[in-house]
Amino acid sequence: MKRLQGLLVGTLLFLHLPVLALAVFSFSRSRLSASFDGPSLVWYLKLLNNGPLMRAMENSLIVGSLATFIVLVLATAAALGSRAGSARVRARSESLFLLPLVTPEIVFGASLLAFFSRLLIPLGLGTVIAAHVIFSLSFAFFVIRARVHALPADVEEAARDLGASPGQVFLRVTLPLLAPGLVAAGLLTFSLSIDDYVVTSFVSGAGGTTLPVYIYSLLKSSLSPEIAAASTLLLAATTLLLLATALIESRPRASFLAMAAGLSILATPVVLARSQASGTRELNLYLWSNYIAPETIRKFEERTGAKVNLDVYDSAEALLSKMLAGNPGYDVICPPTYVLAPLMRAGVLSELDHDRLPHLGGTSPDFVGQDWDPPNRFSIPYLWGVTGIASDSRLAPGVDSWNALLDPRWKGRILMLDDAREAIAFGALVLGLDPNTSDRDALARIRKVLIDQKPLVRAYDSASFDDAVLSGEVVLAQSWSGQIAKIMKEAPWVRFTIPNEGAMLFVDNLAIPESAPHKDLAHEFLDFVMEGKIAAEICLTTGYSTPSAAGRALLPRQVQDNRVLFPSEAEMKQLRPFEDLGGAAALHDRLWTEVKSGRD
Amino acid sequence: MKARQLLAPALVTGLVLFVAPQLMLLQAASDRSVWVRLFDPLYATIFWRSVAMALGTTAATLLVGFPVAWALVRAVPEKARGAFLLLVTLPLWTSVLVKLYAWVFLLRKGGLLSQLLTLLGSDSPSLLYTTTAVAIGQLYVELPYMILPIYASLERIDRSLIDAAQDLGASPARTLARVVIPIAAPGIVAGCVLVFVPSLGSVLVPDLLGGAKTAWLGTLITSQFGTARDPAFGSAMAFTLSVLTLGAFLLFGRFLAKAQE
Repeated sequence: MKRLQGLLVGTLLFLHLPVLALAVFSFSRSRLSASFDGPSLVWYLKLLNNGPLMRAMENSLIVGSLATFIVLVLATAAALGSRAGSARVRARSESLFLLPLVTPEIVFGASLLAFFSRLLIPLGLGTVIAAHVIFSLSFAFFVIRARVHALPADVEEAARDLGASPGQVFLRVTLPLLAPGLVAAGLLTFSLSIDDYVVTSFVSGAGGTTLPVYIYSLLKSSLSPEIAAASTLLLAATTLLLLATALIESRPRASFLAMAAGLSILATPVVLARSQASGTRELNLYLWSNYIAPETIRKFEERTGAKVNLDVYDSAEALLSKMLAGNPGYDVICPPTYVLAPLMRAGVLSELDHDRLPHLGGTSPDFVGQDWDPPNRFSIPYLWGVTGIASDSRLAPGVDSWNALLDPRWKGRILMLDDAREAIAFGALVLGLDPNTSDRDALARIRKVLIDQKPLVRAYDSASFDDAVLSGEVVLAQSWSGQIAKIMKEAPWVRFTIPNEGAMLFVDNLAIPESAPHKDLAHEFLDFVMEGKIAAEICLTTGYSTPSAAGRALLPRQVQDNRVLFPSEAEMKQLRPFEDLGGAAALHDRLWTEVKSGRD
Repeated sequence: MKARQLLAPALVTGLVLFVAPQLMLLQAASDRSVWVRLFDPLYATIFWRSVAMALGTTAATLLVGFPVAWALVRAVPEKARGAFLLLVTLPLWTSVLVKLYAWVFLLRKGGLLSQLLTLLGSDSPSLLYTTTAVAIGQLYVELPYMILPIYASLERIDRSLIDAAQDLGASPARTLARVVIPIAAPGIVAGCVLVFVPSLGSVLVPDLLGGAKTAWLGTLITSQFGTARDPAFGSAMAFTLSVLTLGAFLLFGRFLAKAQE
C-alpha cells in the first residue's frame, strides 16, 4: 500500500514539475530563460494589456467548451447505439470510429482546409469548432464505449420492468452509470481541443486564432513569460472549477466561492477582449505573433477609430497555403520575400495605391524597388534581419567565417537552425555557391558539407538558439539577428558575426490581398507603420530591424549604432535575400531529410 | 426509434467532416508516380525509426501507467479518487509546447534538474538534446493518456472479486494476470491506441528536447504540406500511414480477442 501511494505521489510530482516551474517563473521579473529574479506581477499586467493574446484565450475557451459539448452528445448517442446493434453492427461501427483515430492530425488539417475551401465555407471560429469536433469524436467514443460495455444490463432492465419510461431509464439509470466515462471523455476532449495546434492552424480564418496557434507563432522569437502567466491563469481557473465540482455536495458554500473565483478568471479574457475599441470600421491583420506591440495597435485604433483584429501564424507556408485556398478575410498579410513570388503569380495580391502611401519615401533605398517586388507594386518592407553566427567571444574569439561552424574544436558545442533553407544557404556560402540554387550537382556538394558537419552539431533548433548560447549550452550558433541583439543586453560577451562569405537577408513585407474586405483601411495601416515614429516603435518593441530610414533616425543612439540590428554598408552589400524556389522546394526538402536521416 | 439509430448523428458527422475531405485529399494524390515514390528506402528508414519510437513510448507509458491506475483504484479511497484523477488531468490544460519549454529550462545547463544531477555527482552538465531528454519528454507527454482509460476500466472492478481470488489462494501475480488485466483489457487497448498513434506522428519532443537530429514521420509529412510544397506526396504518405496503423490495430484487436477466449 505504501509503495502504491509513493508511486502516485511520484507520478503526480513528475506530471506537475514543469507546470509548477512555469507558475514560479510567471512571477519572476526576468525573462523566462534567466534565473528567478524577485517576485513581480509585471507579466500578468502585460498579459492583461495584450488584446490579441486575450482574444486568443477567449477563442480557445469558446472552441473548447462548444466542441466538448457537441462531442459528448454525439459520442454518447453513438456508444449507446453501438451497444444496441448486433455484433456485426458493433464491429463495423467500431472500426469506422477507429479510422479518425489513426489519422495523423496533419491530414485532418489539410483535408478539412481543402473541403472548406471547395465548398466556399468561410474560415473562422466555426470551422475551427467543426474540426475539433471531428478529430476528438473518436477519442470520446472509445472512452464512453468502454464504460457502456461495462454497464450491467440488468439494472436498466429492472428499471424498465418497474415501469420507468425510456427517458427516465436514460436520465436516472444509464446516465449516472455512465457519468465517470462522460467525465473522462469530456476532460479528454477539452484537453485535446485546448491544446490543438496542427488542425487549427489549417482551418482558422480571420478572428479564429486560438491560444496554441498564438503560442506556436511565438516560436520564432522564443517564448515570452506572458505565456507562462497565461498558462498559470488557465490552470488556476480549471483547478478552481474542478474543485468546485468536487466540493459541491460536501461543502456547497466553498464550492460556490471556488466556482465564482474560477469563472471570474475565465471571464477576464472575455471581458477584456470585448472591451477593446469597437469602431464601425475593422481591420484584419495576419502577422507573426510578436510582430507588432499592443500599444502600436492601440495608437492606430485611436487615430482611425477602427477596430483591429490580429490573427497570427507560425510559418510562412501556413500563410501561403491559406491565401492560395482563398483569402479567409484578411486585410493585411505579412509574407517574406520568397513567398511574395508565388502569391504574385497566383494573382491574390492587390496592387498598392502609392498615392495613399506617402511615407514610403522614408524607407531606406536598400529595401525599396528590390528584386522581389521591383516597383513595390504589391508590397512594402516591414521588418528584416540577418542570419549570422552568434558566438561566446570568451571561448571563441575572432569568428569571421562560416567555416567556424565546421571546426572540429567545437564538436558538440555548435547549434544550427532547424530550417532547410538556412542549412542549405550555410552549405552554399561555405562552398561559394548560390544559396538559392536548385542545381542538382551543387545540392549534392552542399549535402556532403552538411552530413560531414552533423557529428559536430549539438542540436538543430530554431526555437531557443538564443537561450542555448546564453546558458553556455553551445559556443557557436547559426542565428537570426533580432534575438541575438536582445540577449546581448544581458550578456555582453555574446558576439554576432556576419561572416566574410556573406549571409542571408530575410525581409518580411506587408501586402493587401486582392479579396481584402477593407482595402482603404489597409492602406492607412501600411502608411501608418511607415511613419518614422511608428517604425521606430515597432523596431524597439519587436527587436527586429526596421527598413525605415526615417524610423532608424529616431531610435536611441545605441540602437541606431547597433551593428547587429543595422550592419555596416559593406556588410549590407554581402547580404542575399531568399528567393522563391518554385518546384525545387521539394529538392531542398529531400536533401534536408537525407541530412537528418544520415549519421548522427 | 430503434436504439441503433443513435449511431446516425455521429456517423453522418463523420461522413461529412471526415470521409468527404479525405476523398478530396486522395483525389489530389491521384497521380501514380506519387505512390511509387513511397518505396524510397530513405522513407522506410524513417518509417521504422518512428514505429520503434512509438512502440517504445507505448511500452514505457504502459509500464508506468498501469501501476499508477492500479494504485489509484487500490490505494486511494473512493471519495478522494476524483481529486487524484483531476490532478492527473490538470497538466493537460497547459499547452504541450509550453510544458516542453519548461522541460527545456529544467534540463538545460544550469537548470534545476542538471544542478540536481551535479549535486548527485554526475559530471554531465546538461541533459538537453540527449536521448534521455527525449525519453523523459515522451513519457511526460503521453502518460496521462495511458492512465486515464486504464483507470476508467479498472475503476469498476468489484473489490470482492480480488478478495475472492486471494481468499481462494491466488498469488498477487496470478490475481493480476487472471482477474485484473482481463477486466482492464479494453482500457489498456484504448490507452495503447491513444499513445501509439500520436507518438507515431510526434514532432515536438524529439525536436525541442532531442535537438532535431533525426528525421521522423511527423516532420516528414508536415514538411510536404509546408516547405516542400508537395501536398500530393504528403497526402499519399499520410494515407498510407493511416491504413497501416489501422491494419496493425485490427490485427492487434483480433489477437487480443483470441487470447481472451
